[in-house]
Amino acid sequence: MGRAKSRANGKSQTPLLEWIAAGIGLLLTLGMLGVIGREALNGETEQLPVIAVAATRISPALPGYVVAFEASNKTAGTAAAVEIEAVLKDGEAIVETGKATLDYVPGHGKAKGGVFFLEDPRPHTLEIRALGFQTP
Amino acid sequence: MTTSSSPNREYGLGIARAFAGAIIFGLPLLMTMEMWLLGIATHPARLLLFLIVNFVVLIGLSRFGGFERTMTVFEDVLDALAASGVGVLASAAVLALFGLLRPDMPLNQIVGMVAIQSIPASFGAMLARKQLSAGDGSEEGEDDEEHAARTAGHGGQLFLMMAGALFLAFNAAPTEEMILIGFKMTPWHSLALILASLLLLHALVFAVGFAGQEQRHDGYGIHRAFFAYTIPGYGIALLVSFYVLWTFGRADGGELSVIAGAMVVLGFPAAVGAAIARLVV
Repeated sequence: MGRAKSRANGKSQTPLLEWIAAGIGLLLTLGMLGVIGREALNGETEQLPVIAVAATRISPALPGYVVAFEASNKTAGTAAAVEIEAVLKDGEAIVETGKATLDYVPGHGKAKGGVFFLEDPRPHTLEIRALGFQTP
Repeated sequence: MTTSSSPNREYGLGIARAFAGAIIFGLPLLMTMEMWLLGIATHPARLLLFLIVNFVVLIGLSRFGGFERTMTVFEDVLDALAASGVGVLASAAVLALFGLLRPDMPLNQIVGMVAIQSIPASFGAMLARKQLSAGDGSEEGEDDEEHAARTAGHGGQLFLMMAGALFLAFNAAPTEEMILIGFKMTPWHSLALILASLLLLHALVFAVGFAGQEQRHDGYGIHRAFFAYTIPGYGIALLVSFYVLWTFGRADGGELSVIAGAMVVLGFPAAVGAAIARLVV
């Protein structure tokens, strides 16, 4: 191959494309190491996740209604198997509860899901929160 | 291939093969759910260390194969950089195609997910040349001689075993099943698996380890090969298994017997990887 020929000439020539490919590789590798290294030095991953859940949309389902929610993690600690509980209340009385499980909510990231209710949630108070998680 | 005269064109073909190899070797893990989470949840310092170890292994693989024949260690470094780049780009492209990378995700998360997937992909990129250009023809003869000369040393062989073990262990380790299988097995199963791993490793080392050579390397007989390759090979497989388990946080807080069980389980694919490394690289 080309390399073999140039070796026969006694000198190896590095093709321009090789420099370009290695350059791109170097940039990507250093960038990757930089981002991960910064995270490693911060030690932020030791933080416990703090997950805020907010209902984003309510629409009719068959039967009943579906409430879409977005769970956002406010810290750098990732939470796995996150249990979400949504409670419909009428004053102090609980009308209906719904549950959902999110595979994971990454540190400073978001995950979406939904809960089904038979009752129309709109006339009631909707409380939605994360119950617990697993440390991945 | 033999008709192309431009080294750039040839290198371009090598890069194209590298992308193909990256996708072939990367796909099983790109499609594994645990890996998406591991990219985010793996301790960043351990991930960083693994990326550096992987880079060193890539340089070594470039010595013993790679997607381009190399003359100097500096060229091996260039090739390792290119393979890393190909691994990152191929992983990012496939993850994006699967809808797993979204613009609203934090940068750390995107980088973590791509970084961990780029490890097997870069491995594939490096091996692509050998795997996808098997029919290159007569000119390979001279190169293969040099290749064989490089790999001939005992240290080189053990290095290849380590690389093979690392690759297969890395492919198996992300799943929950590694620990679960360890729990399912009784100590007798573990002992049987150790024995089976050793036998399989020895059979493969002896049968394919010296492939392409008419005579047994250095006249190594079956007994000597056992002590020269099989025993250290299995030791390497176990160490690599522990290292991979530790990287993924699967060795944390575990009791010694649980960790040992998981090491034996993971040591099985690692031993197979160690044994066939010479065939693949």
